[in-house]
Amino acid sequence: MKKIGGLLWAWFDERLNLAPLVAGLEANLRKPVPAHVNWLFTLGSAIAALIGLQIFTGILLLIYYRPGADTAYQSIVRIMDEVPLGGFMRSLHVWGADLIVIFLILHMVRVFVYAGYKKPRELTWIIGVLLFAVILIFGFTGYLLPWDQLAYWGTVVATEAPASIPVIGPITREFMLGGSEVGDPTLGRFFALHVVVLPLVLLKLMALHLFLIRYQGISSLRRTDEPDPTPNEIRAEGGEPFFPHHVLRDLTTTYLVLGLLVSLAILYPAHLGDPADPLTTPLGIKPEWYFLPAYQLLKYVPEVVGVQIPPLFIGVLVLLPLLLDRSPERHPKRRLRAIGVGAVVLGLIVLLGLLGHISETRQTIFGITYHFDIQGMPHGEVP
Amino acid sequence: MWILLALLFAAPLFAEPPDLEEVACTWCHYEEAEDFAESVHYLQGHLLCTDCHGGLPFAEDPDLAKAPEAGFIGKPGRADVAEVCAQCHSGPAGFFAQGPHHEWQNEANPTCITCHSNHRVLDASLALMDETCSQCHDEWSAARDRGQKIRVELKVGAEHLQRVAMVVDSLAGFERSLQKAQPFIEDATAVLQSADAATHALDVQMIEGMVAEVRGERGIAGAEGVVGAYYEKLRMRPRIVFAVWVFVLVNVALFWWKRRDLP
Repeated sequence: MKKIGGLLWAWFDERLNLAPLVAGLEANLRKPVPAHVNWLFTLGSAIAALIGLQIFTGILLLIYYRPGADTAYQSIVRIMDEVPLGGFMRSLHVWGADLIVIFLILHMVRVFVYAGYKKPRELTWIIGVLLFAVILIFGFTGYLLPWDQLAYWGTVVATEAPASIPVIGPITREFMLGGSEVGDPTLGRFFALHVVVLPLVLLKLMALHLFLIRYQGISSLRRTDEPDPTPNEIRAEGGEPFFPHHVLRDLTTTYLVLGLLVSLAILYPAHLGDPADPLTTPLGIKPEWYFLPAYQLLKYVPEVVGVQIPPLFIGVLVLLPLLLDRSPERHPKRRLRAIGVGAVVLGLIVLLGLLGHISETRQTIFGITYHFDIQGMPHGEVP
Repeated sequence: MWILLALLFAAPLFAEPPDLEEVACTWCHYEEAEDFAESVHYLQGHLLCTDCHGGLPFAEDPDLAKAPEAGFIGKPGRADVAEVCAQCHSGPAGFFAQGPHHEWQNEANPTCITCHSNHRVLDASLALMDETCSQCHDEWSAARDRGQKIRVELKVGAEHLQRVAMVVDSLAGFERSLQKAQPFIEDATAVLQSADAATHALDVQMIEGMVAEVRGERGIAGAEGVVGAYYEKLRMRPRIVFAVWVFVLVNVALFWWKRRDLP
């Protein structure tokens, strides 16, 4: 076997002169990571593994899925009832999307806390923020595809908000929907985005993101106006080689995350409601959990303002290393003000999400039943 | 179009029954009218006196209301009762004709109204068998025993079906695979309904056969199979998850061990 491998290597190397390339790659992989790199730095590879699995399960679902208002729901029923392991694949895909968003948020929080976005790694951060936006659009477009009541009405509610923006709002909405309301053309557009356009954009951005990470290396905790430590300095400070030391950590986290994903998919299979019915509005329509903060925000501020805040927030994240946080400090202990501001913003987003989740529901807390109104405010009821 | 048609046909179910005081018959036959006002025929079927007796219900002139030209037949004779009832209840009437009481012209045999009454007709139930058989048959007679067997067989079958239907109903909302049990429940319900009609033949073997069909692979057993498969799936899930975590943790341990040995 080794002999065959050797012969093949010699054949390719003779033609392509691979030896210098492999030596360069090997040297890059052996580059040490700074001593402060811990388990939190393995979230990115777990996300990459989850995205890989999304592509795999997505391709399997694509074999049987039939886009179209008349066919989509039935094809999902077929996937769940007739295709071997079809229901499990769909559950992996649905839960995989949720886990990607969760780990992406944790990953971004980690990068923020360790100031990994600062000079000279601004581009890596900006591409990461764009990846986050692409993942959210993935979730939004994928939500409609099962064409059940929740998918249909969730999309109706979500696409109504952009129409409130003066002048471009109605045009944007009509362009998104392919008409004046959610229907067959909308499904076609969302499907094309979900399975062709977004994966292409995602893979390109991911490749660029990973290249920059490997090319520039993981950020140290030194000030930005000091030179980055050399590999020897990193080794001297207790840094370990990326391969195999850190890769083994990455693999551990990836296995645990995939174990979590498979467990969720088995124990809580993805739900499919009644088929979409444009004439019957079901109760309690809410978007996916990661859009709940934006959904709730629209209830407190005028729609025309509220609808612009989420894209503005993405813009703020893009501008963070360029304009908003230009201090040279990287160490979290010397950036307490920035971390405090970040914690408050994150807390507000989580609070809005919780209010969105709990609004228009009844909850029993310590034996007393409360009705939470549309703004998430509790009203006590007689037990 | 279909919604309109459905509403049209469903309308009588929601409508109020006609006011009996406006029916001219009740002005003289008030005792019968009182009984009829409590009957299932009036309250649910919205029938009037004339549906069985013929004639014109709202004609104030008795001669006109009871004119033979208006189809008035008066009080149906012993020989005509089954025919009148069979206008709507052809199924039970057909089975009745196969049973031991089929010679209804014979004074010794019952007619439909012997058990179901004539004006105060209540919703038929299995309990009716106990109440009415005793009018003619002794408690320990073979005929009472036969009735009892039929009653028990149907009651047990119906309760079994009801239990399974309740389980399917309560779970089908969040577990789509259980919707596959619905056709079995519907088939079993249809057979049970025809078994209700078949009680009129008083044939124990026939009822046992029909209840066996209700319980069979195309009925309760089929539905229970779907529910059982779902519960089996529920039981298997934690076991599969356990196996997944054994695999994951063994690999994690291997990575840990490998990392510990690195220089």
